[in-house]
Amino acid sequence: MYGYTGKILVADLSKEKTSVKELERSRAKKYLGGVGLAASFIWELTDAKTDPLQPENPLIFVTGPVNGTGFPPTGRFAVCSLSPLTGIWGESHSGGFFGPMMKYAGFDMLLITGRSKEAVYLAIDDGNVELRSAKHLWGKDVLETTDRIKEEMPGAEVACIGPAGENLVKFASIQVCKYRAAGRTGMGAVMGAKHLKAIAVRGENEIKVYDVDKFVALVEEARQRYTKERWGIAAQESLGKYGTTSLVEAEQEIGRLPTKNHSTGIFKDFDKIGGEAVRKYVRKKRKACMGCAIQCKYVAVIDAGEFGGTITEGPEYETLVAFGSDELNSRLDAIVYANYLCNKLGLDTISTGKSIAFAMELSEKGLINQSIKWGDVETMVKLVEDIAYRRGFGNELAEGVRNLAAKLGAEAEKLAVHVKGLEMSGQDGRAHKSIGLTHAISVRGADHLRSISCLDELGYVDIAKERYPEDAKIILDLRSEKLKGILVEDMETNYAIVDSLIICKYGTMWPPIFYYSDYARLIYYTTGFKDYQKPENVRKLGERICLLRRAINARRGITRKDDTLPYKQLHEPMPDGPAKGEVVHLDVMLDEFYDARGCTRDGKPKYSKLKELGMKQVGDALAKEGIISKEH
Amino acid sequence: MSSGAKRKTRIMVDKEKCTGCKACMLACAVKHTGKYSLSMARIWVNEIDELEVVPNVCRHCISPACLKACNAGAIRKEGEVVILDMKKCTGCRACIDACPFGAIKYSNRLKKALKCDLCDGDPACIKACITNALY
Repeated sequence: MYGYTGKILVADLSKEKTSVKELERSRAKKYLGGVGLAASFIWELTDAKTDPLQPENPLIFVTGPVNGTGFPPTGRFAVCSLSPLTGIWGESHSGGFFGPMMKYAGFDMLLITGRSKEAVYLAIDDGNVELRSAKHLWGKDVLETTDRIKEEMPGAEVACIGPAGENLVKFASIQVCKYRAAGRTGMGAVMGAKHLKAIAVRGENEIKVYDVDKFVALVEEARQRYTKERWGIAAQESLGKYGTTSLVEAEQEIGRLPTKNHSTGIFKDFDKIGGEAVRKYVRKKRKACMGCAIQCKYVAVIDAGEFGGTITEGPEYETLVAFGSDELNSRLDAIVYANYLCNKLGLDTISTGKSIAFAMELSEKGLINQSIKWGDVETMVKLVEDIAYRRGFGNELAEGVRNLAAKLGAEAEKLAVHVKGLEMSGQDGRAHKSIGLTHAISVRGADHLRSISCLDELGYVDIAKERYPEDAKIILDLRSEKLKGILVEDMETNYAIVDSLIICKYGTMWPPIFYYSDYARLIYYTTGFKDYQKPENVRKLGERICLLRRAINARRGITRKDDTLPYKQLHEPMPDGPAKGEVVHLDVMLDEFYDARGCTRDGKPKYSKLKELGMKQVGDALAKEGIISKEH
Repeated sequence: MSSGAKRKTRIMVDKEKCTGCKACMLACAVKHTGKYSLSMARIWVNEIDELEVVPNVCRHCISPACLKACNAGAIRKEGEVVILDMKKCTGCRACIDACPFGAIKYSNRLKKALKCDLCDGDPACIKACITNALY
């Protein structure tokens, strides 16, 4: 199969058995790869009752047909499972070099079930698979674990958990190449529950694409677009020079920089933690994921002071918000150190920082008997460690903000900034209405990356006119709820394809320079699947993936009432900045979105739509369980 | 190769600009094999630590140690370029031992040595490098 290795590794850790399964061509055609492919397995292998931390919950490492080829960027993979943090569909993505190496080692996907009696790591060496003891690694941090495994397997790429994953922290990450994280939705806890410390991959397999000449030309065209054309030049000036950090300044400008546990969108010290400060004080070297032509990564070094000597990749914009503005902390060195600790201990920086911000507000309001002051870096750093090791109050925070709020009662729940149990990423719907809808409808919880629109956020006027000739003006209106359902549905479809190829949001989201007609060529030249020469069929693929994820969630009880936003964003007007006085009016956007997505007004996939997309079996199963009606 | 462009006789490396993306390796592999891999690349990106990444590739020496070491007659000079003839290579690794730069690697798959051939004066790796670490 062109673009694929054609092989899936199945590992049952309870039985200490591994086997190799063929990737069926029909399945690859229908769901492509990445999250689409993983969702097709999660749908089949789980049900309404599957407990995310029990052995039967599958943990899937998955690549797409483009990974490991020369398309910029090629370095991504995804981890999918049921999330212990949200209880529903979980997916987490990472860049770096692990994804391609998984394919060079011989596999498109790893399907891991069961629970090992003893700690193990999975070593995949050019098609040979071995479960090795990890007793000597259990308890060790990410940096040491990675180094030790590389001594045992030189040249391997390593994905591993730290103490946080071992201790089943609900938002533990899986760390890759030390500093890259499959951070969100607690995939590290699923790995920890399986007593799987790490996966190491190495191999010399080659990937054949369907039309190599056209593919190589497309790679060159993409590289030109990323570096030479209008938006490419702009991307080099922003992402290339600053990474994502310059978003701090950009969001402050539109009044959307989450500050003080998402109370407001304006941070008075934004310039102390923004892109310019990062460049001036901590940025030491530009880095990249494999094959990338944007290259947004960088290494940060703290030269002096109490955190002197710290070296880590990052922090990203999201981390600057989570440990900076959202905690009213303006000390960049402390943010870098917190980022380093999260990498080392295996924690998602967003959920960790946001949990601490929540604790700061709870403390201020007297809802907990802890003294956790805004911007207190000493307490912040201590809490990061306490969460990873589940010490003291850290043990409460390790359960996520939703669980802690439920324990504390209604007043605390009003302050808990999450959707479906996932702590909110660094945006605010009050200042950017389409992101409000994005957070509400995201299949993995309060997350921007499933359907964020940068067209309105960053003002891509020409691209909006190209895509929505009649409605560009309304689409671009940041603070209007109008047509945002249409916009977000299109973005979710778009990114479902991106997350299945798997390429990056840089180039597809920011700058938004690749779209369905580009994916059509990319998929066809890679795989040879003839149907996907037509952009409308590519769009259908995206719709299929979106609805399958929604079906998985519907089966686990998710309805319209869960596609909502934190209390603050629905009921507390933005206190200051350009969006002063705004709240999110969600219902009108939700109705429009559901109609466009092919869902009932209650947020469940319509039977007729599932049938139209070739997923009648999914519809029948949902109807049989009484979740949907065949009438719709 | 575009007309008028000067044929390269050597690939220059500015390691300060290298971000470790390995686009050069992928471009090299597909150019020489028609497939994508890291194992078939004739240029290598070595990550020393967080702050140091070094691309390594054949220098096309004036007086190549590898040529002197090869008993199979597989290595020759064509003008300023040192060429390894894969058909003649016996996989004895003498050239690998001889190269002072570690710029020749052994392919486990092919059981032969792998070395840069400068792509006829228009190296694929240079075109793939967006930071001009290779020039």
